[in-house]
Amino acid sequence: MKKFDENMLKTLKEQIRAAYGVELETQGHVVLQTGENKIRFTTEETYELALNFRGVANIGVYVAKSRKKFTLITIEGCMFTKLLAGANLVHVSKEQALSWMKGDPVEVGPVSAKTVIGMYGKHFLGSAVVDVNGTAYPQIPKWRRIPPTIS
Amino acid sequence: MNVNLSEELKSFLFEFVPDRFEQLVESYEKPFPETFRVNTLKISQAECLELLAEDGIEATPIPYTEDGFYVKPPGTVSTTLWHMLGYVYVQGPVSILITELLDVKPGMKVLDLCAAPGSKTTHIAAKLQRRGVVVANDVSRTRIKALASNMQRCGVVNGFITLSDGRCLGYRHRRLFDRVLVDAPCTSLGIGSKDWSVLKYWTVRSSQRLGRLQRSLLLSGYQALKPGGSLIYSTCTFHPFENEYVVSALLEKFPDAKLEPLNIQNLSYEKGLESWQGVNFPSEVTKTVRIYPFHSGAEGFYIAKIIKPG
Repeated sequence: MKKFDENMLKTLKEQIRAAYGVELETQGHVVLQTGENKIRFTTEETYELALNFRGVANIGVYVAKSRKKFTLITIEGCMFTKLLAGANLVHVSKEQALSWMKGDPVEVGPVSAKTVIGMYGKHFLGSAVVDVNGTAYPQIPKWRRIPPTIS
Repeated sequence: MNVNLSEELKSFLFEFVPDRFEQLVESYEKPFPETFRVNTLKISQAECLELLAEDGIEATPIPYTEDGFYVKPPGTVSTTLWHMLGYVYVQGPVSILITELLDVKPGMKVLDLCAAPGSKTTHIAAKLQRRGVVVANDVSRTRIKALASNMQRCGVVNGFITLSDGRCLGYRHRRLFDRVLVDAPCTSLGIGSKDWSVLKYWTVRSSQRLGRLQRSLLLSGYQALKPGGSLIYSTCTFHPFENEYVVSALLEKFPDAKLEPLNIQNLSYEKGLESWQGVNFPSEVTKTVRIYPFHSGAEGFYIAKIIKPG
């Protein structure tokens, strides 16, 4: 667990802005780099207290993950963002939102960006990678997917 | 199919609840109602209930909790979009009540000593409203995965998970927490309708064995408590070895510890025992409560609220 310094924070914010066109709001939070390139947010008080404990397995909330080609942003990560003009958002229907949360590909039409944030109404659905045909591949972890209905 | 009780369990229950034996066995045969609470870290209660209503889900308040709701039709909430987004948390009604009895206020430091899978931890986090800290500890690496998933889904920023033996943790962090929850591992007789095998294989020895573990956990939890702080000790089982005996052991070791009487509105329950099989417990122990499945229509629990004098 490594605390982000100013430079790391600046780079992260730039990556998020470039990928999704949103501003990551870090004020009032401690930003941490943890295993598997996961980026987590917590509060200063929580961080200070955790330093005194043995066997800390997890801290705060997982907001983003640095990958080779892009930075993934989680559903909770979206809640720490400020939408900028021209943000890479795709608004989906209820059916599409359900497919999204099942981890299934969703047709979103041609978009200029390779990575987008999904929204149903005002509810964030996390990020997705979009291919040239306009199909979004939601980055939903397996444990969080709506289970497929058994017929 | 009928519920199958072990011979030892039959004789214990005949002796323990002679006039309610049939009622208890009947309650084991009924499934629990589906209940949930709204995760107020992500959405307001009113807004969430509106979203559920749009999906045709009716939510009726549980009369003895502040935050809990019954679901109609049952079994519909856990596969909704709203559940996956972390707006709702499916949790038993008495389990919801326990966190409410802990009386968590924003800004407090709270320890959940046996936290997995995180129902009560995430409820505590909601009560903290992002101020203060919740420390969720569990000894099992496997169970911690579920705890981490639930804390993530509920968006708990001001919390961390420790993988540690709860019997030692309190001694390493003495007088640190305003609130401590010791929801100890137990023989689970109160949730027998979820898993009949616990009824089939229950033995007095298993209660005795877990009683020793529970005693160590409670003493450790009490050490972690600040003077003036309060601790909830709870189990989802009935045997005095796991309940009154454990609380009595704490009172014996810390005679200045006080038990707070629990006043639960809109729910029938029984007071803690004065004595069992010729063993008298301290009179303070009668301030604890025992809730049977036929009282709550759901889980059975034993709850004690302990205050450390400040």
